[in-house]
Amino acid sequence: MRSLMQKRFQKLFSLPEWVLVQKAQRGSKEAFGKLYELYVEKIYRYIFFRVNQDKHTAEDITEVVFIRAWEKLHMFRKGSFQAWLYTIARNAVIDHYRSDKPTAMLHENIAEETDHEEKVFLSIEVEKVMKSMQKLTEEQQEIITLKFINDMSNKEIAKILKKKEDAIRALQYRALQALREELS
Amino acid sequence: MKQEELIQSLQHLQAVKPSSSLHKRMKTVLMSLPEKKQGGYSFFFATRIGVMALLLLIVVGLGTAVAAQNSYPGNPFFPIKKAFIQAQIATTKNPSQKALLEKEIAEPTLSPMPTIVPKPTQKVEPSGVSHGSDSLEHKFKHVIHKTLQTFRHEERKNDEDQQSSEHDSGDHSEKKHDNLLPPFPTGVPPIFQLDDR
Repeated sequence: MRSLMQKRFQKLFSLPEWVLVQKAQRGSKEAFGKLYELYVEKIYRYIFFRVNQDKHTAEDITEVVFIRAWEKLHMFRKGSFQAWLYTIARNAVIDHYRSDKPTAMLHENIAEETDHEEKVFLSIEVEKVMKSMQKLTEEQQEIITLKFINDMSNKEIAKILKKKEDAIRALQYRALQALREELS
Repeated sequence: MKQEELIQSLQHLQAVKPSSSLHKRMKTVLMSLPEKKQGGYSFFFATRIGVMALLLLIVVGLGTAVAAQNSYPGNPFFPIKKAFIQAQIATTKNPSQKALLEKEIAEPTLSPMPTIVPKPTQKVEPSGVSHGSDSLEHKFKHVIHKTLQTFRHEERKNDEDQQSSEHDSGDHSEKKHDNLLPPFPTGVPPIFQLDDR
């Protein structure tokens, strides 16, 4: 309750995102640090589920994403900063698979590698869901992560995946069906 | 598993977070990132400012228009209303329309007249005028006094001239000068009490 209040208070008195982006574009590392704090968890989670839930790889790629974002910040002109950041993350994941990871590794079950802390925290059922997610196609995993784990709107997802909203809705439905089948 | 339960289970996965070591590492990385040139205001920022200024201008303009619409003479917005109607008159070709617009300017000017102009029976003496009227009266008295003195002096001079010319020529019937002013009345009480202030 208290942390929720604190979050609301911080949100009320924090600078709007576009101001932070403007400041960061003008060279403010402090503003970029705040943007990092805003998005690091979401970006990490997205990458984590895209790299077969490999914690270390996810952290490495997250680092790369934010460095690239800093370097290319001047290229960001308009639209959603979040969508722009996700696009960088998406490309970073693609680059990661292109460079040193064989495609076969994608569906390798590496759930055992997840941290002990995480295992304790997540219930057995949730862990089952995590394992089943690995068996889905890349696109299905991506859509589930963006829509249901990272709580993004269809409009934003459409921007990131460069698809129409109707296509996103259909993809979402198929992904959920596939996951249910895996779980049953 | 039902769809709602499945979605709920997926939402539990929001608990997946990066380790604190990533934050530490990122802090160091951010500190060591190459500095960027501090640029001026970007085009995007300038556009936003421009749009905001335009919106403000529209709001102020609309406010002024509404205030001017209901204004009367003496109101600071009335000249705006008047200018607007005059512009309408200039652009209107139809004479009846023009007359209507002119009436629109004249009406608010004339309508408050009965309240501004006092009734004949009513005594209007604003408090601030009394001192002004006193000084005016004093000046008026002074001018009258001077004029009377000039007349007397002129008359005396005329009399003296007449006497000397009569004495020189001995002609009493013919007047050399015609007095423009009638003789100064004697025995008439003065209009004002003159003092030598």
